[in-house]
Amino acid sequence: MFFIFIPNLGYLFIVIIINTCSMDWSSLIKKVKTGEYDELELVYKTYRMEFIKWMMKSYKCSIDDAKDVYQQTIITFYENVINDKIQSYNSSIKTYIFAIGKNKFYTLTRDKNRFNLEIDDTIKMVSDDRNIKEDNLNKLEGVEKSLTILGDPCKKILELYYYHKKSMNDIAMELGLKNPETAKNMKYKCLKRLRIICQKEGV
Amino acid sequence: MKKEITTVELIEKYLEGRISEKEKKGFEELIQADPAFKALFDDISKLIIGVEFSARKELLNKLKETEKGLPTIESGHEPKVIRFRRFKYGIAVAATIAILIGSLYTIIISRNQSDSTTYFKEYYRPYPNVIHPVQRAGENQMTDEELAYYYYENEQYDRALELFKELKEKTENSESILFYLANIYMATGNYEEAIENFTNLLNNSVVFENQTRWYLSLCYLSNSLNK
Repeated sequence: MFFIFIPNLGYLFIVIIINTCSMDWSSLIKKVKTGEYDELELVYKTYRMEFIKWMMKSYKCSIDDAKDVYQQTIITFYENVINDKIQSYNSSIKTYIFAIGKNKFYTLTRDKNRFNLEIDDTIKMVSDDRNIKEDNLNKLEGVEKSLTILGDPCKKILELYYYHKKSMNDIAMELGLKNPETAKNMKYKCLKRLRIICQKEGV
Repeated sequence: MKKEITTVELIEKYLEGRISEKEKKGFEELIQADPAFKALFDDISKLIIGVEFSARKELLNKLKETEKGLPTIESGHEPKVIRFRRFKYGIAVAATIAILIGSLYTIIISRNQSDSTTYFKEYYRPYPNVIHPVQRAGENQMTDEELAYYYYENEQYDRALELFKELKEKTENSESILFYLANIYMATGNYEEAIENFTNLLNNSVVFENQTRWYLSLCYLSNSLNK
């Protein structure tokens, strides 16, 4: 009988090691919220291998599809973190990410009736959270184009503020501005300029 | 510009749902009443969603770039955890089989032993004296042969053995003498001698052939127990 318990003990031991080594919620949220892309990249790398193999095994999809699902999953995870949408911290980060992945997989397959994720599909996927219809997609792409015309640092300020939910303080720091007030004024000017470009572009 | 910033902030607040009921009412009235404000509101909503769309796409592209730089995942292999689990189950299965075989082996051996012991005890009886049934006569009036069988029947095997050995030489290996001699060896637990005698007897046995086979097999059984 003793032999049967040895692998279980080993498994338990490894689980304990993994749990103690992996990130905990509070430090992760702090890092992802205040840090730059590196922090999210670390999350991406941490669960990548296991997630993609799990996706391929459990949902019988190709490696490229599994990677697409994972990237979408990480984006949703990121958005939930920065928007304070995570309601329970009882489950592990891994469990949480895998749960998002499961839903992502079903959303992506249900909406497309196929699992061929081309560039166009990616655009649709990117916007699917806000239920943006096809005709609105043109408008969004118009704004995107206008943002490129606008260029940095305006583009960056607007993205940091509206998408990444950075505070004016963080934006000022990141862009080397004098103070949050300067950042706030700059953000307004940039938005105004973007509006003018969009009007010129007929968006 | 201060006022314009405040207006934009109000629109942002409205879009994010961070606005109070009272403010919301006033806000919606303003949209209805002021076409310029409505146009600003529509534009800012569109721009914010557009900025979010662009940033999300950028992030996705960054992740794709990261992915390109990472080592490839071999689709043929199972994830580590799964492999470990398989290993775990492998061990469990191996252990179960080992335990099963072990216990089976033990059971078989013990059964074997108990069976052979019981069989031996159950089936072994010294062959009855059929040659010279004991008549109610004194020991003094008996011939050596009769006396030998007499001792045999009374389980005085030491005495019987001596007499049978003598008789064996006298009678030039008479079948019955050899048979009973072997029986004496067996009864006294000298299985090797018994086996030797029974085997010799087997080659030229007529009367006791079946009996010889029977006792010989019992001897082997018993002998295997003692080893």
